[in-house]
Amino acid sequence: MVIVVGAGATGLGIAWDLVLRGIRVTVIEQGEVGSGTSGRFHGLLHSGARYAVTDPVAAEDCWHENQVLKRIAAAAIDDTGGYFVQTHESDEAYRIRWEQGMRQMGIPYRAEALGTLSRATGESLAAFRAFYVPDAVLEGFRLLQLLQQNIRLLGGDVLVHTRLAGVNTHGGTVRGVLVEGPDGQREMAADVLINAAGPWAQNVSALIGDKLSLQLSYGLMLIFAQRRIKTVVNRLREPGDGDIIVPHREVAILGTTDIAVDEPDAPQPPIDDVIKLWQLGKDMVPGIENWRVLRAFTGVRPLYAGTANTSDPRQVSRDFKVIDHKTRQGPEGAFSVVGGKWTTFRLMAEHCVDDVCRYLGAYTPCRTDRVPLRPPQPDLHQPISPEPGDQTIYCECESVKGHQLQAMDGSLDNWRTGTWFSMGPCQGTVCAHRAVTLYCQKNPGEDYASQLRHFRHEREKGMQAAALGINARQWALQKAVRFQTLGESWDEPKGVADIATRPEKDSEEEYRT
Amino acid sequence: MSWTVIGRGPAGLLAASLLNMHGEECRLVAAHEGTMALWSGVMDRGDPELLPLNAEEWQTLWTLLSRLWGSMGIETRLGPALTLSCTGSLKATFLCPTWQYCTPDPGPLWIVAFEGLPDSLQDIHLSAIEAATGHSPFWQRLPRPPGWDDSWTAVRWASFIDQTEGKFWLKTLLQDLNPRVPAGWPLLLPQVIGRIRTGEILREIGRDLRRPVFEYPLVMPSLGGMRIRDLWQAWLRNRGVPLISGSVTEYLKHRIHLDDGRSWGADHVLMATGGILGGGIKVLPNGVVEEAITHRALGQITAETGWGPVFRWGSEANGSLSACGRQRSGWDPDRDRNGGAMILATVYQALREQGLNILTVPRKGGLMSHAGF
Repeated sequence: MVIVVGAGATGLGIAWDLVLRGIRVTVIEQGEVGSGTSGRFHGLLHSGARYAVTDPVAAEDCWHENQVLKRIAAAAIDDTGGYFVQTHESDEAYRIRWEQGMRQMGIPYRAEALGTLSRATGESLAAFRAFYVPDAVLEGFRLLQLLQQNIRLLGGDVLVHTRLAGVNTHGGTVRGVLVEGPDGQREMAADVLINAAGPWAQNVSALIGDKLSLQLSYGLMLIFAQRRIKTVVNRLREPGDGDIIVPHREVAILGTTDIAVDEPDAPQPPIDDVIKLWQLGKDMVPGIENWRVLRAFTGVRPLYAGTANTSDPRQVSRDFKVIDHKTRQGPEGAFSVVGGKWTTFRLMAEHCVDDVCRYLGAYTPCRTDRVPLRPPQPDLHQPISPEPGDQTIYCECESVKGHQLQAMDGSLDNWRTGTWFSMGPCQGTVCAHRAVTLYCQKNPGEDYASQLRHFRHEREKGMQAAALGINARQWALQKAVRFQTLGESWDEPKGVADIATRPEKDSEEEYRT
Repeated sequence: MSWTVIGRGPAGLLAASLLNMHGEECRLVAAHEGTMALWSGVMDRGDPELLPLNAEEWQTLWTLLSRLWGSMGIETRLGPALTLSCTGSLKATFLCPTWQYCTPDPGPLWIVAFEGLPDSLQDIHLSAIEAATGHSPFWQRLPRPPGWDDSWTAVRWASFIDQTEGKFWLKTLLQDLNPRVPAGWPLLLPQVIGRIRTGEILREIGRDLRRPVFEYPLVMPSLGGMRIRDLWQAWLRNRGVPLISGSVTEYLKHRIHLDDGRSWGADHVLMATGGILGGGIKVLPNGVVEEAITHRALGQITAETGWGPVFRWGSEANGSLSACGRQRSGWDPDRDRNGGAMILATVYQALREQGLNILTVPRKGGLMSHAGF
């Protein structure tokens, strides 16, 4: 049995690779599937073009994986293509090196005529030159859901809200783990432990008894209402801040920044950085100032500098590394996967599972580059229900109906990422209390007031961080609805009873008109 | 003296009404619908200790508003009381239209929800009501009416119930349930009981069931506020106040200018433009907070200022221009639950800054002209 810690792209990619090679696996995840860095990125499926000059290894891996993923995970990829836009003549030297790099790497690209560029991207760009590249859009939550479904079909297990509490390395070899889940602590036997905890990999490696040192950095992203561009747009220069825009489902995402950070939890975006990032976006897309921002969010990159000593996160390679803790005086049977990118998650899994197979002494070749990740087929033997359930629209922004919500399992956050409710312009202003009502009806032990409070808090964090332009008005509306219409508690609620405070009945004479 | 009021939320409508009652020449101009459709029409007072007027002045202002609404056909209940939200929380309020449930002393309730109306109170909210009132409510959900489909918003529900077919659908179902509910318990229905004939329908159901019948408010679009808005605007039109649709871009040398080139003279201007919520204050992408009409910078959002004070930033008097409602600085009705008091106090202050003290100057001709009522 192999235990994988972390149900992000890396952890689920490893579990999928393991089950395909016939190895039993259980994934444990402290939060939800994708609640770490894998659910907090801009959605770019790299072609490698971004790293063609600065990071050839990452570039080559990205281009290889770009082609593989378009083949095996088509249901989660929106193959929009992308453009690299040179905004200033002064970036000419970089452009020449970039074209050399692209040719060397064999990544296809072609120059785009400026006259047709705005039609191709759907937005007028500040372009001096532009090149088409095979970038695409990766729908992270969709792909994680596909991985989880396919892992379960082949007998793998994914346990959410389950945290690693200890590792049994008796005699210098991994023998089991102690996990802490919703039902308390329990021990599980394990032959191999794989640490795929992303930015939390430091904490997990400490439990293994061989602490790794990661170089964490966070990226800031802004979500804009409506799909204002049709393709990915990158700025053609040394990778920097605010130089990627990705059309993602019904929105567009501007990224990103690279700021060193100590803690693995995604920090609240600082307003100054949000303003700066938005202004940077203007260099490439002058009209972006009139776009409507919905929210800001951050994701923490688990970069691994190894022995390199640099304080600038942009200088750290986007390449990944599989660490066998045995080679560093750690226990046998413990592996950590660090660094890397969403785009290369499959390759990271392949390298890791190759090592695990060799350790277990039973090598079978990897098949994840050939077996497509298909959505589960509906059971054709089930009669089609004549009454499709509650047709009432609960979330107007995203047209989510009652029966879609009622069909969801897991936490309220899972309902959100599974149905997309509260992800539109109003960010749950009108629908959060409705969805929480359905959620509490389905989960009788849950406390309505604290669920709603928690959900609002999470939505408001991102909305507040980008409360600029029309979004400031939207946030004002959210406050008015919450506190004046619904009478929600301004302070942290202690219980249902103190939400309503009764006025002193005799304090003032009652008078009628 | 000619006046222009900008904005047709509650502050703008009130300011224009008071000016009209004092015989002043007044125009009301607004770029948008105003915020009336966002709230059910209750006016909250918050903590009276925090308010900038004395008790007698307050009583005059509240009575003035309730009589003004009364003259439009909106009956109200005045005094501290509690009303119920669609999530089962009780909320303190002060002036409340009589169609909405509002009482100083909540007792046992019969609550009805409509299937297919997502903001109906649900069984999950009942424990909150029980905790707050000390009584377990009787709760029923009515099935969707024939002809319902997923496009039915609250407004569509209201026009259904305004019609004979809808009223009959509702009355029939309620009459079946009525014997099972103890006598005397008030019946609470979602706030979609007609857009126009609300009072009449509620009274008719009440007579049939021999019990008081009220509505509980839903989130926007809110029928309560829409009814008040429609009656209020009609009242102003009937009394000769021009309601102009247009976007004011500038007030310069005592002239108002619209973005389409129209312009007129105004000796005094009241900005009832709703602060950040109404669009009268803009937060620019670079973090500068600016008054939309005068383009005056009110501040800059930085990591240091944080968001805490921003919703209290606003304007006051600036020559012949005064701000009222949410546009006025210092108020945060979401935190302090004093939206109604804010409207009354700021409109009074703004008019007074521009030379009209509605508490001392007798009103001319007609409505409530005798001093102090």
